[in-house]
Amino acid sequence: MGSYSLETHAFPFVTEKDYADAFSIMQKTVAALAAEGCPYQGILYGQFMNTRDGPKVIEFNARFGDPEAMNVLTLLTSDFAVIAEHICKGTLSPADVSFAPLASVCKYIVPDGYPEAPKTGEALSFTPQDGVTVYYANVVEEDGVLKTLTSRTMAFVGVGKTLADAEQLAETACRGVRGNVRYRKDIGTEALFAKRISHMNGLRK
Amino acid sequence: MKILVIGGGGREHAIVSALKNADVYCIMAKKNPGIIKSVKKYLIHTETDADAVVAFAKECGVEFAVIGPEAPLQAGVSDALNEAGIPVVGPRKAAARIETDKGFCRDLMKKYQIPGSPAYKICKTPDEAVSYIREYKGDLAVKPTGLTGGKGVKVMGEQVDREGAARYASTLKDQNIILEERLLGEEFTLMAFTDG
Repeated sequence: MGSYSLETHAFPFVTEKDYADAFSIMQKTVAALAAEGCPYQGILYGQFMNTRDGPKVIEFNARFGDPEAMNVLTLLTSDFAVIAEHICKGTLSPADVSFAPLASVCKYIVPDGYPEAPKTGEALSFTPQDGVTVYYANVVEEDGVLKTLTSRTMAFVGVGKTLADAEQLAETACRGVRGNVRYRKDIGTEALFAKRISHMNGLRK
Repeated sequence: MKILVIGGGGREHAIVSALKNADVYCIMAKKNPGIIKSVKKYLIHTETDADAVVAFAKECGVEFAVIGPEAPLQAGVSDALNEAGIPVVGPRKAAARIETDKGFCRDLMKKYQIPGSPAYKICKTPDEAVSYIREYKGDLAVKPTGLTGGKGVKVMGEQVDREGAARYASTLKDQNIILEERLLGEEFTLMAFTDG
């Protein structure tokens, strides 16, 4: 129901070596697919568990993560159309891809009762806010009124100089939504983040 | 540039928004109120219907396509578009098995000696999985090998105990089950653009 990224595009609980190892695993996997006669063109999503022995693959996805796509595409400063064209032509270069050096927090609002018994057809409204990008998801507009469906309704992405700034923006946007919806308050908070760093330090001892 | 986007969720709204200077067309199962405001033209239709996607792509005269969700990848929508001469950001069915068949993914990593894979066992029947779970010393993650919409994984020591894991495995009929050594640590995701 949410995701976050830091202005460094890294995490303190993932060392440079962990990152390089994870990246190499992904490169080798793409090469292995090509060797098997099924070349892979697109977005490869690696979900990793950073263990005391380094990054392990939980699973791969053959597309952008949802919600993670909303973090990275909001921060993308280059034109995705150009990247897409180069993926298709086999001419992609790292120079095609650049991101703003900013932190992002994406929070989904969901219908009350989600996921077991989501309340559908509930009207909702919000006021656009500076520094926050809104993405519509499982929501319908009837006679100008937005209404919930069964899954995640819409996402608010806060972008700021620090995680705290980005979190504050996303939090304020979600809190301002009028309607029978809810969201997770802990995504991208310093408290949750500190817990993850300390857990990783404990495992490495 | 004319580009077709397949899918109508939050992720696809972000994709459409990131295609800044292109004429974007979209085929989606439900009318996304954000997407419809930013595209030239859209079609409300099942995203896994390869023939319909190709027909719409041709009608709009797109140069290439971007597939958002996993279901059309599994359904071969990328293959159909490629065969119609429309290149795609999104792998063909055979390459998408990296996601749609977790057993294929682990076997591929093993064959090419790619590091980062936990110990694993692919079971063909629930009975086989249940006996393996009962005899294994340590915690396991129990997963159906196919797509589950992100809801199919149960981890011992998290959502279930050993008996709970065995009970869950016994319900996974008519599909392969993959049992993996439980991983302890902190999760992160790394996403990459790749041209193959």
